[in-house]
Amino acid sequence: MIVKGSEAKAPLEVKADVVVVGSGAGGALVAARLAQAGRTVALVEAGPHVTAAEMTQTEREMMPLLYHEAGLRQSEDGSIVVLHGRAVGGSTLVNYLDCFRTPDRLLWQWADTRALPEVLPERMAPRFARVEEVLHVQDTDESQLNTNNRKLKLGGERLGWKGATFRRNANLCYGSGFCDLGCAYNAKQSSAITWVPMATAAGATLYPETRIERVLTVGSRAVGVEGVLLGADRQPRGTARFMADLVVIAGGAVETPFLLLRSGVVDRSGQLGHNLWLHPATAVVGRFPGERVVMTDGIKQGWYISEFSWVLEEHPADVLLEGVAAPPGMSSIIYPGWGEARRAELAAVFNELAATGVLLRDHTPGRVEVGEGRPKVHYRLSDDDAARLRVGMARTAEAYLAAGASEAAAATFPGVRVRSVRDLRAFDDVPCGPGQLALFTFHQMGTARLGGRRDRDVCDPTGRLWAYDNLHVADSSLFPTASGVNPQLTVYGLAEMVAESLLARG
Amino acid sequence: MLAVPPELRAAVPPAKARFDDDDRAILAALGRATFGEGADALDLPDAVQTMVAWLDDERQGLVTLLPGLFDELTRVLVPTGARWLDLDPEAREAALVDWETSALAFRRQVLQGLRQLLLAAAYVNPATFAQLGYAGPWKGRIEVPVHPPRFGPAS
Repeated sequence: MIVKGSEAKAPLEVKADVVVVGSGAGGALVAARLAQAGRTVALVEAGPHVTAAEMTQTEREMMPLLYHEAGLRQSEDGSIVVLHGRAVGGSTLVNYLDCFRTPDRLLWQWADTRALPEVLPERMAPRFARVEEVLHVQDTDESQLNTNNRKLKLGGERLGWKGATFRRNANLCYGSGFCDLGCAYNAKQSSAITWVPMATAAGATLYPETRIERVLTVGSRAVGVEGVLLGADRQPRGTARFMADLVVIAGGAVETPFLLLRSGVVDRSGQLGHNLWLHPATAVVGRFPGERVVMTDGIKQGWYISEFSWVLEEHPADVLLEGVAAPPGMSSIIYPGWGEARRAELAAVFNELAATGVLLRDHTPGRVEVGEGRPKVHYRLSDDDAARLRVGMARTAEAYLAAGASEAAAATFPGVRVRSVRDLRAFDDVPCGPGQLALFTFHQMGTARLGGRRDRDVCDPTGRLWAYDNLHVADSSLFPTASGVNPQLTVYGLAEMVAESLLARG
Repeated sequence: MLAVPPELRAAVPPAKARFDDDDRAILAALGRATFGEGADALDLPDAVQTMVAWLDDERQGLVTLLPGLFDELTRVLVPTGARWLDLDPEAREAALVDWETSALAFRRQVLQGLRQLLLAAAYVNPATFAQLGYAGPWKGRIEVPVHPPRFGPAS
């Protein structure tokens, strides 16, 4: 059953065995597993329930519908754009479908440094396998690569760098190229069309357009959550309260600590909201004069270069280079320059450009704080992180030059352009401070990390907040560090672990 | 063009903070300096106002301060002695470069915040698609069937 906040009778009062807040990868999976085990489950989501037929493939309509703050959310100093989903399905609705199992090297590190034997590779492998079956994860055939991704592949291969096609949770993908605006064809196997319908088929009730603002606790027990029903214009139209024996928070690494902190929950580690990892990403483009690259066509992320990744290849730069494209509103802001000269140049070259996202595994975290009715994201690229990001930019530019590009450019202000390998030194000291570089985060992680010690970790090894008997987290907040690869499967895998522990409690 | 029931589209929330006439004049001029020819036809001040309405309430107030801040601080911090809006086009561009390359992080951030809003507002407008050679949505152009969800619809 679906009860929309814009239509529900207010005030809404619900009793259930379990309330799950957030319907992205973690929340939807936990809701489905518990509903299938016979629990009455309320799955609550602030955003709307948007079906494939309603996806219009236009930024102007879909960004407000599917993203927090219409995709305009930023860190407090404006240095990084924070993109995350706000609809049934969460960020799985708007991601690029990339499915990496958490690299073994990282799982070993997490198990070792945070006392987490449950995340050892042999324990996680069957969880990933189960999730992959539901998500229909499959290899991308090289014949499906678009020209944009082929340019990155060609450059990397000419330089002898390791790379591969992405595994994706796609089923009969047409390659329309609008993944970031929601899949209009149900090809992307988001949680909205997998775990959520599995949950409702098993008896769970979905409550979209309902914003939870407080976790209710009595002593060491959570007793429910409360918030507001939202109208179609996102304005509150009445109150909503969900009383439950078990409370699971899965709003993502920004919204989850925001909700828990504003609820005043007990956290003796002092780490709630801290250890925010963002995988800061910037773009480098290569220009191929006279060729129709048309980066916006086809599967957007098909090829990546792993050569400089620590989690995959033990390279100290710790960056992953991923072929990528974005629709004009998003991609245009990264192109440097001013006025008519810039406009005319961009118009002339737009379809000759290949683009790659340089994804940094950040080593210096930020934090989330409570603002006036909103989360505040504090994040600043450290000198060490900036240095490694420069390596990623330079290597991407090098790959494009090797692939035959006439020039490569970074998303810096003012712009940096290179036309030969000798020019690559320009990246050595390219400014990476606020307002000097276009930075985005598509992956928010940490802020309620798992760990075996209550004095330093927010959640115990099963995802339960240490100070409570029945208050759990099941999303990317649990990550002890940045994953170094696209985190979708890691979230699902950890959520599966949380669900197992909840079911084992009886 | 799009076979989507209007009631399913997102309704713009009521704005918690609005640009005044001075702000709109600054945004219009900045739009021309940022986007180039054709900016006026895109009505960028209106488009930016709509985008700002999607922000969290507190941030709407902060963002609506940016145009006035930029205009006035140009008089104080850039060796022009005049508000940005009062400069001739050449001096305006020089002032933009001065903001962009400033050693003060907050100046660069103010400028980039405005730039991002204006460019995003311009390029999400379908009127700009053709000049980029961007074909736009498949829907209405390339018809392919929607797959039935493998697990049925949520219901």
